[in-house]
Amino acid sequence: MTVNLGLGGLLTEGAAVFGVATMIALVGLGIIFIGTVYVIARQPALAKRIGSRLVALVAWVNAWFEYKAVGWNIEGHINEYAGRLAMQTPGVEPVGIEVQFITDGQVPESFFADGDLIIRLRDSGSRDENLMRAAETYVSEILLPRSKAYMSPNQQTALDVFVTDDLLASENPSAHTMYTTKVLAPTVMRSERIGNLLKQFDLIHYAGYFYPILLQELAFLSEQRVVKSEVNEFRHEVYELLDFFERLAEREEGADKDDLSFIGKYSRCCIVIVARAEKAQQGQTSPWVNYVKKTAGRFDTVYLIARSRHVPLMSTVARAVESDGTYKVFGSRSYTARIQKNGRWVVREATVTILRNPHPIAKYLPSHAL
Amino acid sequence: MRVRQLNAVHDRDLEDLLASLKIQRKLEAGEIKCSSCDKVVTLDSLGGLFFSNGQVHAICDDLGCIDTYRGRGVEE
Repeated sequence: MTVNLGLGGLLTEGAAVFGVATMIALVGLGIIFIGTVYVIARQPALAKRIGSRLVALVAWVNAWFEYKAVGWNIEGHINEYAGRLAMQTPGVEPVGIEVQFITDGQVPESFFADGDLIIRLRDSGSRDENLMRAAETYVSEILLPRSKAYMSPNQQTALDVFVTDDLLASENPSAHTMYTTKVLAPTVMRSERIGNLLKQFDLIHYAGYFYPILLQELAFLSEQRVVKSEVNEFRHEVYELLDFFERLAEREEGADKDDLSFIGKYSRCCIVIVARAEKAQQGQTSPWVNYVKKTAGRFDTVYLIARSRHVPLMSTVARAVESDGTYKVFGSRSYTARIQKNGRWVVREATVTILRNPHPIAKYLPSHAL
Repeated sequence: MRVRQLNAVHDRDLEDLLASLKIQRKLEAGEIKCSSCDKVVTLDSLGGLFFSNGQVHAICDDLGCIDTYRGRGVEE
């Protein structure tokens, strides 16, 4: 049988079927190619995780595939988290990771010069263990390195353990389980103080303040210069700051706003909740603008917090205090908050806008002025 | 996004690296201890390597030992 395809000739039925199948295959391959390019361009971390799985299948062919299977798995998960961390905490610079394998016994000069750590990674079958090790090293190196330099070992460890635990919980449940049994639980069993710090972080994180506000405030601490004789004082103040955020997390909705400021030697911040419904509905900005302006000269950072429906009002307040130079808008982030109402936790979608004093005072304030 | 390089050695290259750092024989003889917890480090329990004061040091695969390497850890 012949078929007239209108292409200027007659083809046999077999050739027509072959031609149509070839066209479908080419279109399919084109779609797959475009889809792959799209995923690599838009979601590089996801592309690495998928790529890691694929090259692991052929890791026996060549060492290159094995290195990529191990490295891409780590980079895919950690870089995904790094992006989210930067989204949640404006003052934390997004830092990704690139696994550099040392091959043929070639040790980089930086190993001898800087004392860099070379971590041992297992083969691509040990994905969870490799991710866990890389995550711990990554967090301890990139999370607030300057602020942590003055913190106590317990404070540093608790921060690193909490963030590594959160990274693994969100990225890989089985690596998270391994981390819990091998690191988190033994650490808590060794130190009551670290356990208490982790419980504080849990509560602050549950209320939604950990990444957008607490980490931000700790990041601002990096601007302080601390001399040796002040280190204990600094560490004590970090404990007090954490207590302040714990009280904030436990606060009842609509409770008295007297306890929303922290005045220390190294950190001076306050929380302003843009929430009074009747004033907000009337679009009145002056109560908040006046309140924030009154804080000028006393605080280095003001965190404006508003539920979703009051965000336009909060933005107007922020612009008003920025326009007269009282504060500069440092950043704004949306987050899911939980607040207690009548003894029960309720979920609120909220946004925080960070106002920063253009002339921070904590660093230069004489201690008698506290 | 700024990228931090993580130096790593894959299991398949581990012995070459140890040989180039001239610590393979010591490790096999049980003469190398973890810089953090002081336990003997074996080829199986090796977690990482770093260089300090002109010497190569080893850390075991106890994850808490990395914290101690960075001068952290747990206060009493």
